Amino acid sequence: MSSAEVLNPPVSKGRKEVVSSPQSRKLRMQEKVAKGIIWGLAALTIAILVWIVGYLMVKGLRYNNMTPYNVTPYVERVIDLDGTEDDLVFIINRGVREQDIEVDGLRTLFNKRRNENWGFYNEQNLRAQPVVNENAGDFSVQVKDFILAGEDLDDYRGYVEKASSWDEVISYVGGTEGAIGFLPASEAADLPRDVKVLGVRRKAIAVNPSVLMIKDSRMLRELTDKQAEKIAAGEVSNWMEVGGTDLPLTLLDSENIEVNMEALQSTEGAVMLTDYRYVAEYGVRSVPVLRHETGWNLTWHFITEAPARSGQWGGISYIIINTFFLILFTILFSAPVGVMAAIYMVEYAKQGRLMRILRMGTETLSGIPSIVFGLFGFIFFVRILGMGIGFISSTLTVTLMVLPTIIRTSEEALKSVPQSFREGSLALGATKLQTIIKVVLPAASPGILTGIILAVGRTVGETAVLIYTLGSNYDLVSGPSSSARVLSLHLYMLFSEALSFDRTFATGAVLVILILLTNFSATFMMKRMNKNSGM
Amino acid sequence: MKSSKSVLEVAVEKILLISAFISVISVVFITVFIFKEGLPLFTRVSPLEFLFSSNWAPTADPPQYGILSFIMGSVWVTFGALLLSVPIGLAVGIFMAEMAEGRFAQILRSVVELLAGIPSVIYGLFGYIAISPVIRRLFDSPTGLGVLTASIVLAIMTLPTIINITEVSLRAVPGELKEGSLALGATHWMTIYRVMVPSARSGILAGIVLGMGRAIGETMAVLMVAGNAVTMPRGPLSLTRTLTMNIATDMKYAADYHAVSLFTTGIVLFVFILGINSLVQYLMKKTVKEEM
Repeated sequence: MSSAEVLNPPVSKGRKEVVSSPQSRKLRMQEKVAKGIIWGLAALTIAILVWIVGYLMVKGLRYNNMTPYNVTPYVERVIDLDGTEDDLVFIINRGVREQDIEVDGLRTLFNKRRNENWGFYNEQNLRAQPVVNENAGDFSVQVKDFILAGEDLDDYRGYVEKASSWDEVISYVGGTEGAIGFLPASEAADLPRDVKVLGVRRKAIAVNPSVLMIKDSRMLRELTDKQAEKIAAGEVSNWMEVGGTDLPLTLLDSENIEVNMEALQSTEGAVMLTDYRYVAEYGVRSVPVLRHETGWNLTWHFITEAPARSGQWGGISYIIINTFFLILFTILFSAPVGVMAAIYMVEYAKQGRLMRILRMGTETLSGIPSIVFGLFGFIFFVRILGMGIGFISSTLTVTLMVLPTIIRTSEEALKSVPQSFREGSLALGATKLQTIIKVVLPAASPGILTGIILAVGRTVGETAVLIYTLGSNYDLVSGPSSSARVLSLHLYMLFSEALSFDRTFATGAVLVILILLTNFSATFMMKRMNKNSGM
Repeated sequence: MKSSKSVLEVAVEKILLISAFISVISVVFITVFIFKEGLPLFTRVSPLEFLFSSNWAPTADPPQYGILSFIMGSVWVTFGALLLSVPIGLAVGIFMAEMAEGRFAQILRSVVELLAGIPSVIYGLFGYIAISPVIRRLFDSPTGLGVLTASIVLAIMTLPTIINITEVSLRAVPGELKEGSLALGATHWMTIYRVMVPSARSGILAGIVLGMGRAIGETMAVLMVAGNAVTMPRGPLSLTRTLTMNIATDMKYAADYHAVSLFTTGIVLFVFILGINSLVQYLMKKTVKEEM
């Protein structure tokens, strides 16, 4: 006892006082637990926000997908064709943002059955223009067989541009946007700067149909790229090892294709790594292979290119511009009205019935859900006033929506201007109007601006009110009655049409960045305001 | 000279008055037009059937207009959201008013502001992508969408409202009350939950009710995560459709009385919101009175 006191006397004395009453110890415990929980919940709130914003930014900035293809991810930049003397190289215009393509893509590009667009492969809205050399004799015929394999087509269609020499092919590809052509490898030694080589993925995993059959309620659906590699290296002896059914795996050689194809067709569990064209030619099955695709989602191209094909291709430049137009006009309409209303409510109106009505109007308006605003805008501006679904109807509806925000913040700002300012001005002989314009408004301007920034934030995020007043056209706004999309609406449309989650996220990231910007500038204004009033 | 100035002043005052009345006029217009568009439905179907039948088949023959399942959907989702957001909101509100200091308080304030500023489509997208897989795995529900997911998303969305108003009402509690309690030997926490929270209860309640209004009126976020099934919600994992979702979904293709019925749905929503708003204003007035 005494030795403990010697060791640390002050603490044990302090403890003793607390210990003296078990009730107070209990209270102290209670206090600690309660405050701990509250701290925890406060931290949780921050964590939630970090989770939401972080998740969206990560997903919005980069994509990271496993996409199934009929062919393995193995890329050949120089293709060794059976039966040709020279190897084959595909070249594209430098403006095409594509590194490699599956062989099926080459087929459709050269066939031009539909209005072929690079958008199908890399979401770049650019028409594809194939070109071939007419005078290449045997080589060209072989390549034609390669490209057009599996199609009921003897020759290229009319859209395919014809050139008469390899040099002409190179210069055509270099000078035409979205052009694609092919060369013998010997001609592709030093290509000009505006032409680049397009890699081709053509190796497929051809299997005996038994591999893809359901057994014991299991079935092989697809392989990862790693699994495909292991199979090709001969390291797998049973399909179970790669997620398939219990079936021994026999790896066949791809040399001597006819013999081995027969073996593939007759051997259960047989597999062969071969050119994709033989899969179609011999009517065997191939296993889809997942390719790990990753890269930047929110690119400069995405922000600056015009949207196409319901937003699947191109970027969101028009949509960003539309958003700014909507903000601009909404503020143009709502700020003067809101500020004037606030001036009336602070400087002119006397407390009483009128004030109660005005206040109730503002509060009620701020509580009305945006979908009800949408209904109203649809029936009043679109139908009754005949403005149609379009820019002006939506701007006016959103104006009504953000009005309470502006009125309330302006009111606060005006109220915070010291009474002595007004009295001083009036005492100097200024009229009430002069006092308001020259003294009160400048003093209140940071607060009013904060309100306007908050209104901008609301406009950026609003969606429900816009669905039936702004429409869904993804072109640039061209006039008061033109239907358009803004960021939030575009995000929702992409989401609901399930077109592309990557693009939905990229749009969401832009939206979040805009919101962060408005919020930070509002906070900045507020700080400045506090500084001013502090002085 | 003097008289011309006063004419200007009077004119300006009139213009200002008109501006101030725009919001009142808008409220009147919104009310009138929503009712005018929605009420004709009652020539086809009785109000009781509309409200208390869960048979919604507006394109069938004969058409059925019963929105009980949507009302119940809104109720489920809203109360689910409040169940989650009220404890957290109260705690964080207390924290901001009484405990937070310095940098952490500043960060928390910005966080709450940002949570209030994030658009509802972003919340919806987040709920669909991040929350629904968790629900799917935890509760073994087939889609991961439904009442629970919508409640979680709405809870996050209503959090700022509850936090802010709790903080404001706690700060409005007269200092003497707090000081008196502390002087009597009560600990800080005892003072908070025995003295301050009870005396700020009207304000806090107003915040909760305001959050409820936000939850009922929210459209986009729930539209993306609640599953949009035209059935009566049976539990936290069932897919559901709320009043707002009904309007947003069916408006796309509605014609004739189907469209009218959507405005009638709007009336129901509007009446809910008006009721909630009056409750908030009543509670706020009570807070002001208590302070005096």
